[in-house]
Amino acid sequence: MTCGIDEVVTAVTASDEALTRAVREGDMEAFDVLYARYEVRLFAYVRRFVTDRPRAEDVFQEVFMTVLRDRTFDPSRGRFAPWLFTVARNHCRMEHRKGSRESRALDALPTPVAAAEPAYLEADQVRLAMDALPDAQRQLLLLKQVAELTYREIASVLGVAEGTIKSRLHTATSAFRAQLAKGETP
Amino acid sequence: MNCDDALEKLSDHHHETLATGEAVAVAEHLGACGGCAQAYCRLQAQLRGIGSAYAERPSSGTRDALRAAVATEFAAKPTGGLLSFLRRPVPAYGAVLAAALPLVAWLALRPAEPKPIDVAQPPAPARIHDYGATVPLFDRNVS
Ligand SMILES: [Zn+2]
Repeated sequence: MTCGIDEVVTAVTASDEALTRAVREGDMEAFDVLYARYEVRLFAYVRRFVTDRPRAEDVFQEVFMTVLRDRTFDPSRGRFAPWLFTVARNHCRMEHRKGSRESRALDALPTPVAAAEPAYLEADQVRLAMDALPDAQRQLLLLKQVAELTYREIASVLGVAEGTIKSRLHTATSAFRAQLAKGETP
Repeated sequence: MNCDDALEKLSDHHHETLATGEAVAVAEHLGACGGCAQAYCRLQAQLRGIGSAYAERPSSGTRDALRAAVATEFAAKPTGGLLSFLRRPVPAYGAVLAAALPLVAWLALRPAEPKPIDVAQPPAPARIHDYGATVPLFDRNVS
């Protein structure tokens, strides 16, 4: 299929909702643009909850397909990003429930890398600090910093008021920084 | 604004949740205070660190599999254009307009009715005014 520059520019600048409509009509260029926009944001979010990489890749695919398939999501009425992350959150919860027994058993094992190498990389420090947070605070920081959602979109995913999100974000940021500082203290 | 106030507001300043006046005050303090500016840079780096710590891409195999599944599921049909036209969302007032269309057509196309004659009040006799002629036509001297 040939694709003119005008079409590519249109797809790149199109809203997520317009791209969703186009994908549902079989436009694969629209899919490529939509995929590129959410590939890292969605996978990073899923990976945080599904530690097994092959399973995380399956969940990532399921989430994307669910959102595209689900005709109850009308792109002319709702925003794509909050819907995508709401579906992702629900899938991750189900995964977590499925694997909770297994993960409890894994959690009980010592972490050999941590024991052998006390000088963590910066990314590891961040992950450790995030892991130490209560689930609600971690969710909030992931939706803001990884999924890059707006306050309104986060409020929609979590089902709370926008003002509440802002005040909780303040608390979550402070808690995250406190955890980082703990990790830095020898 | 002193350093304690500024440090307390750094996170809200980063998340852009401060009122305009407060945001300006924090920005002014950061411009003048090296210590707080450094603390602000550190905070920004820490929060950016969350994004980069988890930044991970699915494998190209996953991408290809998903693309193939989407292509199969939503393959463009020959009637796609017509279907998408018919499936376009219609605004709420669309139904009202559609219902009013026959009425508008009837009003536009109906034959003009003759004016009813009021028998009780006969029409006023026709008057000639602003004729501008002082002399009857037949008396004019036509050369
Ligand atoms: Zn200061």
